[in-house]
Amino acid sequence: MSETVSARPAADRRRAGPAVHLAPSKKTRTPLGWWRNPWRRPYILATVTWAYLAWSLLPVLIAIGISFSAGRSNAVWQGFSTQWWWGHPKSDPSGALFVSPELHAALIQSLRLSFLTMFIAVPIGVAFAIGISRWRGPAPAGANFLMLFSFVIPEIIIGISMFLFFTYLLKFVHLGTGAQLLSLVTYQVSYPVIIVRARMLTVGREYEEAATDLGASPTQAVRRVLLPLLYPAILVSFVLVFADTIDDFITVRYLSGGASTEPLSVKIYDFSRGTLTPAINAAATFLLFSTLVIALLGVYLYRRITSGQRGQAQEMSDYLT
Amino acid sequence: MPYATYTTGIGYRRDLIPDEQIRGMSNPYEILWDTKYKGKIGIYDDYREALSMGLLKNGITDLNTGNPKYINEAQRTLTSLINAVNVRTSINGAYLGIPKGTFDIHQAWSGDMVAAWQYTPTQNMKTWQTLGYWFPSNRKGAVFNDTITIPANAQNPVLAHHFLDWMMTYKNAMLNFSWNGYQPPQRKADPTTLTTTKSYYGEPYVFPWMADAVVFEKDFHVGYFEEELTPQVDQLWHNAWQAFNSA
Amino acid sequence: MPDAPVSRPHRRVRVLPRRRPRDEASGAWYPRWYWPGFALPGTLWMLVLFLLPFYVVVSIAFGTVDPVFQSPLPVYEPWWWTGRYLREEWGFATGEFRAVELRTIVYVVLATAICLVIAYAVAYYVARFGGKRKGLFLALLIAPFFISYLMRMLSWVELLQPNGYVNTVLTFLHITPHPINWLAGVPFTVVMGLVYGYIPYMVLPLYGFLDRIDQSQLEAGRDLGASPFRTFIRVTLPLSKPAILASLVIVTLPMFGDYYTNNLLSGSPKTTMFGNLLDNSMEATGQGPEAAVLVLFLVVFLMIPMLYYLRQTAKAQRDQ
Repeated sequence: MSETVSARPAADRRRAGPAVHLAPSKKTRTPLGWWRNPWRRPYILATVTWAYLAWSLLPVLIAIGISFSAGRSNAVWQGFSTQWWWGHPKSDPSGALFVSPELHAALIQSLRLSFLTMFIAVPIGVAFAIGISRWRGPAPAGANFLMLFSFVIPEIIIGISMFLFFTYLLKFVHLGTGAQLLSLVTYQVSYPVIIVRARMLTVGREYEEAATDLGASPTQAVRRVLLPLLYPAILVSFVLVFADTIDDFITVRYLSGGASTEPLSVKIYDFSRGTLTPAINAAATFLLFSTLVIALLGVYLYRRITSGQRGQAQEMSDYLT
Repeated sequence: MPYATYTTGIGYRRDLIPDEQIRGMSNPYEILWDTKYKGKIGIYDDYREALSMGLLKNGITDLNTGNPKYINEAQRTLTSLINAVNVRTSINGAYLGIPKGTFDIHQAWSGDMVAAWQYTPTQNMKTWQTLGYWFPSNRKGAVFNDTITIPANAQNPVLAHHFLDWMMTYKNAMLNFSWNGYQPPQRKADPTTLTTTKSYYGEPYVFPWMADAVVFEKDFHVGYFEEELTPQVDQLWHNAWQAFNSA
Repeated sequence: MPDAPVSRPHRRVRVLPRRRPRDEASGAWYPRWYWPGFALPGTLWMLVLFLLPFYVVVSIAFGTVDPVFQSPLPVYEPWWWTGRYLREEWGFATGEFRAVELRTIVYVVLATAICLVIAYAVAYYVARFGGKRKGLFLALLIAPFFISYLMRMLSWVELLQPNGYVNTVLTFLHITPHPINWLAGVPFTVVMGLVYGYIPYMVLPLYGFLDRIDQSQLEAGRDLGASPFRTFIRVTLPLSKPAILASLVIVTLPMFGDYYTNNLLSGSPKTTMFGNLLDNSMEATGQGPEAAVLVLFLVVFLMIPMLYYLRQTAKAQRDQ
């Protein structure tokens, strides 16, 4: 390689990549030449990307802004006010987010369902991912297919089958928080499986083998070697499952036992089809904030846990290679 | 226990459609097909109510009919609305959509239009005068009532009974009516005075230009009551509704 | 394994008994039940709460109806199954619901195509030209995952109101003479709503893949004289086929059951999708068998792309 560098420096400079600006030759001055220049900046792609990001995020920012609107309309901003959050909006008797008892109860139900689902679905999913990755034989393929299918299936199918299941077979499980929880976990358990499996593919088996070679029992190998390597993926699963559950409205809508077990997402859905007030924006913004809080907590825990681990992983890879 | 009585008619914007126009029509249900308001016409997202309106428009008065011919004809009538005026279905288009301007004409329960004044963007008499309600003058239209019930496995039946007693007192029922718009069946109330008596909010219970929205006891004898259907007939109605929805 | 006598006389080599079977791949030892034990809770959960409800759905679909109340009676023994509801709903599915089915397929195909084009472009740009800003881009791309689908749709419902900002901008720029009612049964709105809702799920897998593409393969294409465009067509695209397939599966299959996009963005029967039929039968009382049969139809329909996808990934794994 070094010979080519000294022999043809100009050509190698060309290979440095699109970030390098060349003195435009005569050829690139014409439009066709500009189009054909392989090292020009990807203006079209850049525009598309920034346009996509704006299109993706601006509407939500506007909706958050409208939740602080002083007026009643959902379409335009009419001055700043927190009346839809904790005030008493003069134009709508049904009240603000933290004041209206209906929305308040729904809020509590949302948080309850999300936390419970998170702490049930992620351990099951992580254990399943670990087991499936290492298990050999035909049976895991079937279980794997089930998990994958439950991930891509439209949620309405799970909602309907769960509803029929609880009303015709398992009648002792009444519609309500219990039924909602069971179906939410069923829908969410494949999420951590996919995330952890992806991570396990990159982790590989060398560390466990090293641990068992050094005399660790299987349990010790898993607990002290494999799991710590998976902490980032597990944390990500917690956050994503929480985010997914708190917004879920399809399954829980069919399985709610009454107005008291309807979480906030269902209320937002019902109101979106009719009573559009900025209070709904406030409710949706609150869901977003709670997800962000959990995400920030996850990031903080991630940094704390992996700050030591990054050092450990480095040492181990130095030892092995 | 009956809680609210209402009739199902058509709510409309009085400033766009003069009262005389809709009352002068031979079949006022046909106002829903007026292409001048294309895209701003709505019917209820309820299979009984929507198909009943189709039946009434075709002149069938039995709103519990099991005759497949009538039901299918009603369904075809509704489907023609889609092509004619781009009809939309909603459940609160009457009291939310009409004041907001999303709809100009919407199938409406009487209580919806009576309470619609609370949802107008500007709260003054001029805006309130744009809300109108039509029901056949001979009172031969759809009437129904809502009920409050205490289920057998209620956890607090005594409290529930007390609540019902409280709701049935004249003062509380009329207070609820002021906000709700749905007329409670009260012996003490005189329906003829509802357009002149002031409610809790200081305006008449029912605005005078919406006099059709008042429910009289005789409406239940003259009008067409929606009863519960047998499962087989219900299936026919539901299939017709699915067919309409999959246009 | 019997003792193996060696050819040298007066010597016998004792073979150690195999008490510890070696795991061939890793060389470490685990008891046979170890890994299955990890997978057991998840498998049990799926069996009881995923497969069993499906069986109940099938039993209701093939079941009978109570003669008095007409409430559905699930029939759990396969030999008593009747095809009555199946025939009835099949009649509907090939008759009245044909328009809805066709419309659903058209919407989903359109929306997926648009998603793919935009998502691939964005993923390609961020993966190859992101540079220092890659972290920022990634954060912005992941953000929609934390925003609920409802909130994103809600924001569009508000923007598309007759007096909303979209109409304000359009009339200000004189693109349209008067405000358009976007929410009144406009198929364009529904398709774009689907695109908006599902596109984040497509960008991330594509980005993940394009980020890991081996640069040397692309450079080889360039070295052999292909223009950037041809390199893209001949090298990058074929390489990304598995990633495209995976992201298609993640996006298209749920889209077939989508009903809320239509409910939120359009109140008209003109744009109903198959999911709306399911939702309607759930909201009506006494339509349990209809819901069950429609669920079956949808599941069977979705199995086809699922099995195709599994075959492709299995083939790819074997090829590697």
